[in-house]
Amino acid sequence: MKYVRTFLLALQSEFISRANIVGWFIVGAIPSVILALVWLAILGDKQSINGFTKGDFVLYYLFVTFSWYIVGGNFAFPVGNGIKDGRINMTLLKPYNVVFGLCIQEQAWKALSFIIALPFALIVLYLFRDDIHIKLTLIQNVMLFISLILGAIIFAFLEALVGISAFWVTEMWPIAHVNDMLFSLFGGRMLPLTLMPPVILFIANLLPYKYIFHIPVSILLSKSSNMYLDIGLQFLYICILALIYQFVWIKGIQKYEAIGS
Amino acid sequence: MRVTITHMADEVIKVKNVKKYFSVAQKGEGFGASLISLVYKKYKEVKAVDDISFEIKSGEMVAFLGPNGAGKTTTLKMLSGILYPSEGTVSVLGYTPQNRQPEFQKQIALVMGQKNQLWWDLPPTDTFLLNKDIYSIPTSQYKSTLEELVDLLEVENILTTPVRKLSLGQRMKCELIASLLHLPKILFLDEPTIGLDLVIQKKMRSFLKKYNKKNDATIILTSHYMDDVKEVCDRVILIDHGHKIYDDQIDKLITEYANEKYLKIEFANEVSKENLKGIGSIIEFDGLQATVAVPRKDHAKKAAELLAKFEIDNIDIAEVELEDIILKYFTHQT
Repeated sequence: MKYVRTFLLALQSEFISRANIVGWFIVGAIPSVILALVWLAILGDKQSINGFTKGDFVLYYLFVTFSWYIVGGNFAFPVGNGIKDGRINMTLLKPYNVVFGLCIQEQAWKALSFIIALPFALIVLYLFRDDIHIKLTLIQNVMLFISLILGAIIFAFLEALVGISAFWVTEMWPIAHVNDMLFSLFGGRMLPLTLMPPVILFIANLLPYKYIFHIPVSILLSKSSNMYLDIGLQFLYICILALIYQFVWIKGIQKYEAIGS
Repeated sequence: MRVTITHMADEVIKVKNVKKYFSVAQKGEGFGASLISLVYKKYKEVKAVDDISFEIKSGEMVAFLGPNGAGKTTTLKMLSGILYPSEGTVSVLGYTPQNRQPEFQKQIALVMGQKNQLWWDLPPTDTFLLNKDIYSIPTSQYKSTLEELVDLLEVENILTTPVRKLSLGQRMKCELIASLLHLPKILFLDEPTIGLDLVIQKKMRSFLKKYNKKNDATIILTSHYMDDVKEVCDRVILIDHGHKIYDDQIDKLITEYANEKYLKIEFANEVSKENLKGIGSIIEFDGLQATVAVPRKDHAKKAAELLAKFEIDNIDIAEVELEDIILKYFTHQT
């Protein structure tokens, strides 16, 4: 109940600065729109590039924009800054998980942004109605939903790990930006992984970023060769990251200096 | 049926040989030193708390006093479980604070004058509701406690105002309410009256005394305002450079270390400072008024001497201020 209340309070806070949400949506959507236009220009009169049709590209970048509100975010910053200036002190005293609480808070602006951005998605889907063909079975729909949730958890663990790096470094934002860049490159946010050079694909297979966004979008576009295996690997990554997180948190909190009075 | 017998004299806090050391990066002066620090960083071990031991009984009201950087807040942070001690053992209500067990956390609260828990854009009531859920406070208890606290601290008219629109004093009162909703058995207060005006400071102090009495709560307080200490606490622990240097009742500290009394005199006519020198050491003097420190045992004799020697409108015999005793203590003038 305490985390539901946290979510509701964060949502109420977002209502106060609702104009920000529209602004952030525009900022978030522009790169996807640009990349979609670039790929459509490259595609030209061709039917497809490496199996990606016009409809696939539109759907891919629409998914990049909207899935960000499910599998994305940036709560590493509130975690890191809270550790840096001792803002987490008051929460550490309570029977409450500080990092999970901040993660829940972030879901508020994401949920609200998602709702605000929905009309935009409907317009795009309507404009490209002749090119977009989503043919998902019930099982694929369920798997898509599960893989999105698992992707969101992997993302959350990575953000949490980046955030708690502030126990050791004064400024964690360079680490956060590196993490973000790696996610863009090896997670398929910038462009579909299957269109990447083999070396990038090879590295992507070794990193967890692929399992955040690439797996759900592959299921959506019916391009996953084995969605059960992919989801199994997502689950495996969650277990590994959870163990790493737990270990790092215990070490970090022992080192914590709780700056400020 | 399980019967639990608790004794008033039970120690609820036990601190044994506790140390807390921090490693602090050092850098010499100037650009050259900055360049060197890029490749070679020098660290210095700072002993924030160095081998402190004490025990506090249930219901006690204790003040931690000391200069800035003495280790008061660090001690409070270790007692509340925010910080891990480098060495030694801390036990609060039978728990090891740094393990941060929910059963322990539900029985303590820490109020920091410069850190807040209230949601900035929302009215204080929203944070109160969150704390209700965090501490699993039953609705009936929540309502009655909130009503009582709101009444005691006189904040009913600001409960629906966003926190960012409240004054510092109003915010502090709401912080206190948020921290007390779960009726903690142990209350740690770090500079709770900092920045507050005199009226609110006074209200806070009287509230804390009432809270202690009503809930048999143990209160540990750090403050730079001696009025907080005098009015709220019975016992004082003096800390300097991470060491405990005094630990006893405030009255005892005054009797032990205030070996003087102050004679506050108002003269009928202007007098010369030279004429007062034989009486005692002059603390304040402006010709018509003076404060003279005299030996405690001779104060009556000295007062009589003054009355015989000068034409005096008024003379008051006062205890040395606690602030002065503490100051003397820390500057080793006693």
